[in-house]
Amino acid sequence: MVKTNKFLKKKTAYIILGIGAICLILGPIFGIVLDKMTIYDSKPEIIREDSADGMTKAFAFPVTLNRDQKLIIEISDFYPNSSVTIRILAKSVYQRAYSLNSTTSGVTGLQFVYSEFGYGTTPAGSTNGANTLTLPASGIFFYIEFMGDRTGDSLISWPGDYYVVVYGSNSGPPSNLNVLFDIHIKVDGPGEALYNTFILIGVLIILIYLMVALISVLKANYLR
Amino acid sequence: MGTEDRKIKLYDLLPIMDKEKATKFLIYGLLVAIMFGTILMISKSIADNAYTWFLIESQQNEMNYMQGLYGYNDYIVKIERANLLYYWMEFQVVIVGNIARIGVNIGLFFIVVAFFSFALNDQFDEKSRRIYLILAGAILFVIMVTTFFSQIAVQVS
Repeated sequence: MVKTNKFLKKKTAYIILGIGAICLILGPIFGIVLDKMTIYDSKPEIIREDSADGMTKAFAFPVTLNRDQKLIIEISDFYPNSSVTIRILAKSVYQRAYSLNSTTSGVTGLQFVYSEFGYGTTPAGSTNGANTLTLPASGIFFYIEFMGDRTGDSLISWPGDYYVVVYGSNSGPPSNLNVLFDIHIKVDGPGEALYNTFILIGVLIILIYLMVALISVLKANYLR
Repeated sequence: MGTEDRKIKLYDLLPIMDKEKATKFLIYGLLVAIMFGTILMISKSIADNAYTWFLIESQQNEMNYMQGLYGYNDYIVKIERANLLYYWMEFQVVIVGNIARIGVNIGLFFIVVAFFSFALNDQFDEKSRRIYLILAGAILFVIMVTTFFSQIAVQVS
């Protein structure tokens, strides 16, 4: 009969291997759930037509980006008569324009990239850079990535405080002043770091337990 | 006064142990050698197939981008991470291989000790003891050669 020690008791084994398995399960779950964190989601977001005339009336959402953290904006405009323009401003630029209530269209935005997904083109071939986009004139849906600046289609990380600014106009009857659009703002979350950490811990727990278990069996049965 | 210095001769240190303990050593050595050998084989297989994994990962990444699951810069980051993992998959065989080599040599050492014990055990007949001695010598030779050279290869041309 194979001799065992208390470390190899069924209950202890289940607990240790169970913790390892839980880590292996939690890793991918955290990885998927926390990969991107939604910080603002509005369908539809309603602004007024005078948002183009003064920064105080424009839609503005503050975002703080850390090093190597990305801001992702999904914006679409499927509403009749609405036309919206999106820009991303540094906090200092936005606050100055806000205090002066500057004309929104007169403030220059920072550079970002946007992707036009589809099969048949390479990822690089379907990505472009811009500092402003107008919907639906340039497209009805945009997937925007921003980190501070860009070189070509690649982003450059400038950690800091920014504002996502949207203003627009309504081409319908004069009495209709509302401008509608859908916006979904996300930032990179800790998903990937958690995924790697949990997988590493899970694998280490199981491997170390198996090694220790094997050594203790060998010691108990063959090395006495 | 009172103590006697006993000179220990070299052959006193030889692994003279009973048959049962020597058999345990043999099994233990085999288990350790097989375990580390298997780990080495798995490691080599991972390294050999790393590029195929990289191609699958790249294709999956591109398709995920095309489906709009993430943007261009996430796509680039995932390519870079896949590259890093691919390099590690190829390099890990160096680390695992060296650890496995030590493990296999330890296992073989136990087997050598066991065979020497059999060879020195007068409970076995002369012919068997000679075979055990030859086996121990052969395994010792393998240990020495694999310590100084990467492998033993027999080439038939």
